[in-house]
Amino acid sequence: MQEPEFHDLSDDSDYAAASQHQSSKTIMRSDSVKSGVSEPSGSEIVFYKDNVTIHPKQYTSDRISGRLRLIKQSSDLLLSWVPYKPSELGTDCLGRSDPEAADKDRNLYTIKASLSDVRSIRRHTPPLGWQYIIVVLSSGLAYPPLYFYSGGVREFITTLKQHVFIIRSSEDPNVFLVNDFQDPLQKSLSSLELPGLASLKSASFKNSTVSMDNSDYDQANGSVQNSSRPSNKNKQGDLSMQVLEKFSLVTRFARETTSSLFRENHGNQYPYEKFLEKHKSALNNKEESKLELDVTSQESSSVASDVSEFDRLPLVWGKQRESPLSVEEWTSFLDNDGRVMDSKALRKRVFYGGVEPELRKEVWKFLLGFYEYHSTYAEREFLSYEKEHEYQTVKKQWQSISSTQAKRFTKYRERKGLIDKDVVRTDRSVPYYEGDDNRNVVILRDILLTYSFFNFDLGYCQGMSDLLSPILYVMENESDAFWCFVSLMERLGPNFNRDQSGMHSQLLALSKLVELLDGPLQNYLKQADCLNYFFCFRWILIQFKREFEFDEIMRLWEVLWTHYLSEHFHLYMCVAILKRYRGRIIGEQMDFDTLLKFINELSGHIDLEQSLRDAEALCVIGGENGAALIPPGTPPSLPIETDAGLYVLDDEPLPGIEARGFIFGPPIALALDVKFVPLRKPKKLPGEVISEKYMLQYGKDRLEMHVGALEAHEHVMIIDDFVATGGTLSAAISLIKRAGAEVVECACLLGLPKFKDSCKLNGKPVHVLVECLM
Amino acid sequence: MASRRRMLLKVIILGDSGVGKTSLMNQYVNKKFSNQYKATIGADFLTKEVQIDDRLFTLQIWDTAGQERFQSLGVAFYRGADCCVLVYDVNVMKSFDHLNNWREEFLIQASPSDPENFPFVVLGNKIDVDGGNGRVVSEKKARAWCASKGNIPYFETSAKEGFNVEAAFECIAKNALKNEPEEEIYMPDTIDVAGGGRQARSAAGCEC
Repeated sequence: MQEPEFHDLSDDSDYAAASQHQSSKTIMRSDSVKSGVSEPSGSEIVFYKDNVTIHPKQYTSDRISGRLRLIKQSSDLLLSWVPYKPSELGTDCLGRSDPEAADKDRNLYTIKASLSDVRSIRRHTPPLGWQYIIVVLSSGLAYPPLYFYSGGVREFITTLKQHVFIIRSSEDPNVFLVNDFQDPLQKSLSSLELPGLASLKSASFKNSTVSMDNSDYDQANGSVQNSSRPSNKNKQGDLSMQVLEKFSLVTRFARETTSSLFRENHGNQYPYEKFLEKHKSALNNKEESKLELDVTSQESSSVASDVSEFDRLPLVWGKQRESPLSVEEWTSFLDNDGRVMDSKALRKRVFYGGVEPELRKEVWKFLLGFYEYHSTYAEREFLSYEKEHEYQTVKKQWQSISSTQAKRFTKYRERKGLIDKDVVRTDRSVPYYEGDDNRNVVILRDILLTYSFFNFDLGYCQGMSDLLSPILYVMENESDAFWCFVSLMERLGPNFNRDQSGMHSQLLALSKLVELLDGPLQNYLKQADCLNYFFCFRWILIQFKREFEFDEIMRLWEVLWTHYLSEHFHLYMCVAILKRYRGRIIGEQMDFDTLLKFINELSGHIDLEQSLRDAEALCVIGGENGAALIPPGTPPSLPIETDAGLYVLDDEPLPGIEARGFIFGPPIALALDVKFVPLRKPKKLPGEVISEKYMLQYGKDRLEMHVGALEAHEHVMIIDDFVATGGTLSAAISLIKRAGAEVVECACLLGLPKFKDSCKLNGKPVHVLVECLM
Repeated sequence: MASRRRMLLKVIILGDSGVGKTSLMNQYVNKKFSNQYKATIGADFLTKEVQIDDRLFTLQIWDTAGQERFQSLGVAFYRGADCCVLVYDVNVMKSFDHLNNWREEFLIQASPSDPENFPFVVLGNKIDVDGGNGRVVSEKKARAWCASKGNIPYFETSAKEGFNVEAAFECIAKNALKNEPEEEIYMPDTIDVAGGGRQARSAAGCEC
């Protein structure tokens, strides 16, 4: 044990000054003093503890020991932790020989905060290892864990209770909330300002954030809170990153220690297959599957006794990722004419390893849906040629707008202005787009403007340039990039809907997935009023584009686009990342603002491979239950209207055929809140009718409909009970066509086998619910 | 115990895409300018410690996406704002024309308790561009609009050169502070259980 200094308090108020006053210290042998040491400046030490240590890095040898103090200064209570000076220590204490580096760390980690700025203190008393506390500030920042090598956490809390108002969190008995006045009774108690309670109201906020008595750090301090991460890192940026990183390393180390303990206790970690087997058995039953997850949690918590520590444990899974698809392998997927023989196997291969960069130009066109898997080399060449022509045609539409025309075309000017502004701030640090007068930036602009004419209703929306930029980089061809972008937007277009419906449906689905796969987190978010999941907005809107480096984003996207395990793999990615940081989110009691900032600042710090593996495991565990939580049509699924029957466009009438079509038609029309139009046998309808004759196996017949029952250009779906030859249905289609309306599809309850699997009648899809053998 | 809430002043920056919201915020907080900021997606904020009349406050400055299409997200971010900064580009007429929309949209979504007196500050940014030759909105016109909306304080700024940014935000901070009535701390904290009032929010529900 080293000999602690006792009287020298100068470093509490000013570390720089302290270094000049080293001679004034008196050395005493004492571990802890509870109260009563008066100080010239009117402050009083009410608690102090030696051998309180932080672990700045993963390596156990790196430790910084110091002294923790609670100092009462007029009406304020200060928490201070100052590392021992290297000169006073044997090397054994710091465990390192580099005095300069030690000094740097020492300055970096000095802690001083007013208790009025502390939100909560979490106490950790693991059965193995040292007790420690984590102090979380109301700004959301947390100090590194402070390990009490000589014990005394209990004493610390007791002393704290005598001087400030703290209450135990109802959620977790190990969390003590400082300045928490949510309960009206406590509020009024505190307003009485009982003697002995330091008044927090009048406390000064001098040290409200991580305060370090070092000018270098002061500079960094501003940057720590700074959310933006300029890609051209200057010195200051680097420094702030260092600080952030160090903090996160500390927490990581704390967790890794316990998680490795856990693994030791259980022999080896689960082999992947065994793990899946274990969870698959529980898949069919939602409750059971939840139970299974809970068991895993409890096992670990019995060792770690802390939420923040077991969150890493269930995530030692996911298949090892493979090397990217190589050129030789790619050719083995193709037949002689260039068709992809087994598209599912290809997608699986890409899902697990991605694609080698030089292959992306070709493979992405399949993944995105611009090329069809069963197309031949020749067909693809022809398609590219044709599409190039088509692209130029659309492009000419805006190119031919003269400046005088543009003056009277506000919508065009606004769109162009918006695109012009955004392309010059999209990925400009990537060499492909950097520098003044970069041609690729112009191409980016042209494609986006052309797209806003190709899909005039959707137009241009911020975020689109982020989605296009890697595609153009890979394609190196304007027209190909355009059509790949078009294919991508068929799926992601709803992200940019004016009413934000696409985003809301994904955020809702995400919330349900978290509920299934991480109950505790969902509970916490609910309690913290964060259930709108807006903090994941950027992740979802542009598919994590801002969260990863450029080359990583290309890897992630090709994996997502395989739709191999799920079309909504990106949502499982969200769950995986949130789950990984759950310990911090809950442990630091993040509120909405803090959480949003925390998530924004994860940008550039998310481990891609790890997240992919976690997401895969979550996707497998979620299984059908997970998939069932994501409603049909949730992006990036294709919109419902085009890929499934029984979804009529809004307000379009529903014609049904006499007689049994009248049994099914009206209830469906009622449910959809649309008009039902009866198609009847001859001479049944009272008003003026138009009719259509048709042949039956047993003779002729006629269908009639009221004139004016359908308006021209209405899109309808015909309902009937049974389809055998399709004669009646064909007549109904013709009849409606003659009225000027258009049949989009037909739906029947029963049908002969030939109508099963979406057979077409007069070019219109027929959906049959039950196949009927005769 | 109103002091916890009082130490945080929340400010929302609104305005058309590309008028310089992110740049203004970064110039003020970090004293830095870059012409490589990406378009803001969703929302983000920076904080800065400010001293007003010998008291220290944390100014929380929210930067939001400028495209109209993302306005519906505002509800989540505008909540509890103490001041709203409306920014336009003096070289782009429509960014000025849209100020009214931004103001009204903010009042609808943030629904402050006293919309008539909610503090706004208007900034005409990018006065450095082209030596001021590209300017299309005159200072007079801008001031007239501000006067018509209840004497909104007005500043002409250049985020690029750091011109007037400090002064503008000083004013913003002071106005944000005004939005928190001083009397608040003398109100008995136990009465308003039903909530709804500003007092209840600031005393209890300040976590998010």
